[in-house]
Amino acid sequence: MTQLGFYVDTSKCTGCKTCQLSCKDENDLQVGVNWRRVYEYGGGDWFQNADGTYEQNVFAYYTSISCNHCAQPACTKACPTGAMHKREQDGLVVVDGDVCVGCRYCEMACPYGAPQFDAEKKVMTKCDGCYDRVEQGKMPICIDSCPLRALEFGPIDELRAKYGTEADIAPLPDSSLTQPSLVMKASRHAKPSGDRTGRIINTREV
Amino acid sequence: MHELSLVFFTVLAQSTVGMFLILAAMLMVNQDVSRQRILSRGLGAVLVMLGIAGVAAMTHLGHPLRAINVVFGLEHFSALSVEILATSLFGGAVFTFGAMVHFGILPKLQKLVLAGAMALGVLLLLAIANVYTLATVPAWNSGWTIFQFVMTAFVVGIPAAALLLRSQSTLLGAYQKNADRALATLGFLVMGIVLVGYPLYLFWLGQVDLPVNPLGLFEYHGSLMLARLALLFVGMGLWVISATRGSNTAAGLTAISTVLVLIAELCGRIFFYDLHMFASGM
Repeated sequence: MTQLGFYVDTSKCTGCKTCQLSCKDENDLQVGVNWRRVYEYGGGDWFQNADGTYEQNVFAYYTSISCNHCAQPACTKACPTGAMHKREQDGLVVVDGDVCVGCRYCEMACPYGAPQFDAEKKVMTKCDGCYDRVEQGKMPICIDSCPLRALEFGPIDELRAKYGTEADIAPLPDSSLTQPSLVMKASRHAKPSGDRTGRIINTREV
Repeated sequence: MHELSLVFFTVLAQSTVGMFLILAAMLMVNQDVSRQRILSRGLGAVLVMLGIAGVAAMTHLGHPLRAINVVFGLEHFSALSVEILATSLFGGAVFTFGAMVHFGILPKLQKLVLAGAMALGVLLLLAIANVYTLATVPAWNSGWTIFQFVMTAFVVGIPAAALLLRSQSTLLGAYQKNADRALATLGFLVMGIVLVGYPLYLFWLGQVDLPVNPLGLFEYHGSLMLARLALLFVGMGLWVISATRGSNTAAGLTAISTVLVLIAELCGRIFFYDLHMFASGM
């Protein structure tokens, strides 16, 4: 089985959120439902030097995250109906909206915030890796729309061979929890997962 | 909070199990046939409470009419599917035992069914805790979740069982008075365990590695905690003190106690659900 996954370059991403919006447009998502979310992670402080002057070490960077189509998804394990399942052909994790009972247990379990409750359809929805586009030989809409070319998509083995295996960058959780099909490139200021010197700044957007 | 229906489901289901375990323990050692009939009448209350809990759980679903789909999750041992199965099996076993006593079916097998129902009750308590001990949710992923859920069962279950017995005090006579005093002692001990264990849990909580301080999440948590502990103390105290001083038949007072303790547990559970967050803060 090929496992598809994402590559996110936090050194290129400027936090423009075009990926988030093109996804919303392509999938006709409600207000409040974001299959792709751009987390702004920042921190830093001011220090007084001996001569009375001040210096700062303020930092911020962006991580664009949708669903990482994990090798061991917390959502599918939690799902009481099997509606949340991993496709055999490409390893994408998708919801069968006709089976889902809308109990929101997957939302409780997924540490990436990928499963999103659609209040109108009353079922869970999430990034499906644009598998319909992928079947036509196209890229997911977020990849194609990124003006910085900070996102890539493809077989995770190829992405790992090309870019390495880093997936533990704050604010992402420890990757050993779910083994995400995700490769990250650290930016200059990137902090490791579990970092407490910074915080997610745009909490109301994600 | 969208988990309010789950607050009601978990607290009511646990209280029901606690009340049942008390009644079942009494039925287990009982040899008197007429007393067995009176005691097992209380199982009607157990089933009604479990039914209310079930309805509360259903209101949480986006599509309640599809609820039957939760059986599919048993294939991969979804904690939620197991919990729902345990609830149904427990309810079924209690109903079976009640029906056997009521219609006098297979008297020699009744205690076996009762033991099975008790085991399923304990299993249900653990199954509910298992739903919330998620590796990705640090504030829930500990034995303290089991501690809280099991304590709810007894803290509400004991006064609720005492209330049921008091409602039948004229029929049960001296047996009821003795049972009431024994339950009051047990209730006092359980309250002591909660009042000692809960601060220890809060100490543990304050040291969990989380992006924000779990004890400073919402302004109202201070008053919620005060309400939870005060209602528990007042509710349990009213019944325990009066029972140990010789008032063992007035149902009204025990009813007030049960309601106060139930509200205390609901407050505690709201706090518990508010703690849902990931280590990453995402």
